[in-house]
Amino acid sequence: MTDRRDLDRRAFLLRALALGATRAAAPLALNLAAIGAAAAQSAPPSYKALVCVFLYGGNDPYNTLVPYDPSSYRAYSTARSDIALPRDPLRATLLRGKADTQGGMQFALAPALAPLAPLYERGDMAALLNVGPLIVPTTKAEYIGARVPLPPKLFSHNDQQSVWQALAPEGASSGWAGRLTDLFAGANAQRTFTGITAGGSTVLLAGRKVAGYRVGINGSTQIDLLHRDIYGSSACTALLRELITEPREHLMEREMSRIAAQSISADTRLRAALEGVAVPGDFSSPLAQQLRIVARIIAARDTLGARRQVFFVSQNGYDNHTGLNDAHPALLKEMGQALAAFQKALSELGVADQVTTFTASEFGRTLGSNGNGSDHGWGSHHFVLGGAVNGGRCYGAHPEIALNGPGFVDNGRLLPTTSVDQLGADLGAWFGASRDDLRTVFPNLRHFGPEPLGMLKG
Amino acid sequence: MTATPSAAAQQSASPTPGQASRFLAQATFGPTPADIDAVVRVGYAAWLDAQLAMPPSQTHFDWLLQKNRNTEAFKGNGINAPLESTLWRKFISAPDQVRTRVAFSLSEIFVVGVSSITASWPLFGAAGFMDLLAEHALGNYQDLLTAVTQNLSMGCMLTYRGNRKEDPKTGRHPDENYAREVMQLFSIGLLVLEQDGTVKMVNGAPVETYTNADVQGLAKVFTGWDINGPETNVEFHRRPMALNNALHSMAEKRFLGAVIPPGTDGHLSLKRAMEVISAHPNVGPFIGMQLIQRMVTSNPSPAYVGRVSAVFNDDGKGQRGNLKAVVRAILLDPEARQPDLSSPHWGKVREPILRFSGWARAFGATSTNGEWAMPDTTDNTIRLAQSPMRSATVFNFFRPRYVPPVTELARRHLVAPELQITDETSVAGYLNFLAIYADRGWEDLQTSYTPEIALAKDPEALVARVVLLLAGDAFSARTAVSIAKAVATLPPDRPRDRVRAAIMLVAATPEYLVQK
Repeated sequence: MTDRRDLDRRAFLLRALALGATRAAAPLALNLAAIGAAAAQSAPPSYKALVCVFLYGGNDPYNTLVPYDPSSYRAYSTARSDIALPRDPLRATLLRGKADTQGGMQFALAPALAPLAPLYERGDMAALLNVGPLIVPTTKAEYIGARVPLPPKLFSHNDQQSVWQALAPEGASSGWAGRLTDLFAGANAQRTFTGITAGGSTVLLAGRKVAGYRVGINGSTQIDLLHRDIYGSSACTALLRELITEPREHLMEREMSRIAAQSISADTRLRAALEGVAVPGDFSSPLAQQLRIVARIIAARDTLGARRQVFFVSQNGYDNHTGLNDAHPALLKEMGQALAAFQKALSELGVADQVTTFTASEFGRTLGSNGNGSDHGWGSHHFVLGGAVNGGRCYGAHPEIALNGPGFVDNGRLLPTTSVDQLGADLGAWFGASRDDLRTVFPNLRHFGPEPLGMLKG
Repeated sequence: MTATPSAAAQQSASPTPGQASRFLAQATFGPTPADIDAVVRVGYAAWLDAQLAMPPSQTHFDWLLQKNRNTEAFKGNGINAPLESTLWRKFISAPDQVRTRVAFSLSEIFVVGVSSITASWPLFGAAGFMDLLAEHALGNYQDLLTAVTQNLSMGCMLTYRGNRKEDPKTGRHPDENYAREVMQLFSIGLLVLEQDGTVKMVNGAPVETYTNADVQGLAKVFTGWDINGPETNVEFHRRPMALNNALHSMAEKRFLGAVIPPGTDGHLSLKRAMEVISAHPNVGPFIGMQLIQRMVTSNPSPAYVGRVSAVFNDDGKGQRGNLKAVVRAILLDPEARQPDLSSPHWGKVREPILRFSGWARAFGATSTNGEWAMPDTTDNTIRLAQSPMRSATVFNFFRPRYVPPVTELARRHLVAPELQITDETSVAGYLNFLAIYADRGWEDLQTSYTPEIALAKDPEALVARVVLLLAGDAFSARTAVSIAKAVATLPPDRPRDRVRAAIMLVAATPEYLVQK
């Protein structure tokens, strides 16, 4: 597990070793459980963070990670007709070395993702092929015959967003990252700063006790009226503070006042912690601006007393039913540049190994073209980035490319071969959750084999 | 038109000013002193019927033409500021308030965002779309759905403008976007419903209303439609899209149990599809529930939804989909008119757009020069985190079934749509915007606060008026007294500051922010 980074936490590690905790089978939470609270209190674990980059709209997997070997490319360009990317420019972003997957398929990053190619080459990024929501491993025949339980409301934006974030459709009451951070509730001085979103409302970060805390691209937002006397009346200002934060009987009012109270107290603490904390780099795009505030908060982790954090950022615009090749390259360019700048900043902060970033999106899209775009699909390809990644290779499996082949349902929609639960479990194990805990966080994990995907070190 | 017996009884009852104010918060963009007086004088039903009989006031489209916004300067996207002007103009000042409010509510179900309109003069596209909603807001649901479907802005938003039939040679399939969303969002939803809006359970499990095969079948209907006429002047935005039958799929179209035979042309296919969708039993509860949520309360009782669905299904004269009757049923329902104000979950979070319009109407703010220079209010740090016709996606600013996680609401399986845009940033952003507009209006949108200043020497009377206009009779005396005491600490020789402070304090309270 995370030996190198934990060396400076000698007391903790020594206790763990003394109790015979083994490397792979006994990650952090299990150790904590075995060792007991006393050890946990005496030496908090080293810092770790997960960052979810959510691509709203349903990212098109085929024009993100493009089949490259001659036979796969031929099948791809035949099926996609007018929306296929040309092959020649892909040579520069071909994933080499260990990139080959079953059957000798090769993939290239879309040219717009060129900023990510160096990360892949030096092993700081991996690709996960054909991942999506599944209840159990599912074949095409089982899908068609509805012979196994299927994820609810497939192909629906809002519901599949929720399924990716919470493993349940819209209306879910907690997200998997929130449930994961619940396991480490004692690790942070401030529970508020455990799950933080710079990318809008998300159920991903909601745990049993708290939901995600919202920041803007510059951090928290101050209520101006509380920082001056209203028309010179300190009584009015004091009353304003009381009125907007006092507990209420009405459940919606209660929620409004809880949020306002949290806004005020978190603003005070976060503003102080971020004072003078700058992160250099090119963070100009909307996505990059979100990642910059994430990097700044990570830089301020000690002031905030944070040991385990999950961040959520997002990018809109991936629902390209039309104009795919006008809009999509620009989106990928923004993503690639933002992620590259973020990784560089994390390296400079010395936390590249302690922060793992992953992309997610509600679904993939149809392999076939609808004229100049693609429609809602199911399985998709995603990236995992960071110093802790066993990178430079693809994980998962990809079926033979054929609109109505055994790996595709409903005319060209990838039937996932790896589940969101499995992706989350790899991330969760690295974060420090035990195998047992992971089965609680990811309810369908038990339906998939015991072997982790192995995308993360340790 | 028939009303329920208890609603009929309401017609003769004389509401109090506080009750009238609460009714107007549901039915309009906010109570005014004159409307409160009128409702108290004639009663809910007579006031509402007069509103429902009014023709649409000047359209957004015509106002933009009158202001000469159809020039080259406004042709591209990103220069849509006059759209804000006309939208807020009607929200704040249109005489046909109920129609305008219902149209706004519909704009949060049939969602178009101006930045998605891929045609010249997108502001005219968005304006024309809101006009279309107003035109049909009190008409027939199937006519509304047909008009929305043929509208160019919607064709842009959901990408079926220019959609071509399938091509077996290349494997190209029709764009499925509209076929999916017209069912999921504009008509029937994902799950089979009972008439009272609850999810129908079969063998203990919900039943999905359609499959991917239905989407693929229906997608063929929405092929061959595109812009009607050249983009030389803005009028193409008002014309329904034109059909090119050569691009329309002549294949068999199967969806929702219906079959449109091969060889059926585009006009007939569209007509048939609109009939099939509109006749689905889910439409009444699905659309009725959302209109109740947009106007009255987030968690109506099944009985309330059932009464509204029944009116949707039959207006009493055998007509299905009569939206005027539906709006009347929603606003005059006993649950809307006589709720238990002590219930811990009655009502809805007042959406930010309605907070601003409510302030303007309550205090008579109006444009001093006819320009209505309102900003895009999307910013969440110093504006409203919401701006009309600017939703980023067709899923609106918030979802009707949004459950805020880790709350007592969630534990009780209650929804609170507007809380989806309520967070640590936006609560501050709203108060920061309130501090600006209650203090000094916005550009040419100004109020003298004359009636309020006249009361400023008596803080209790001042606060009582502010409370009546903003929150009606759903505001505690205890809070009002606290505010009056705080306002009294301001010197009496600064009456305007007393007024502004009273408004800021009332409009900041959770009691006001949840509309009852």
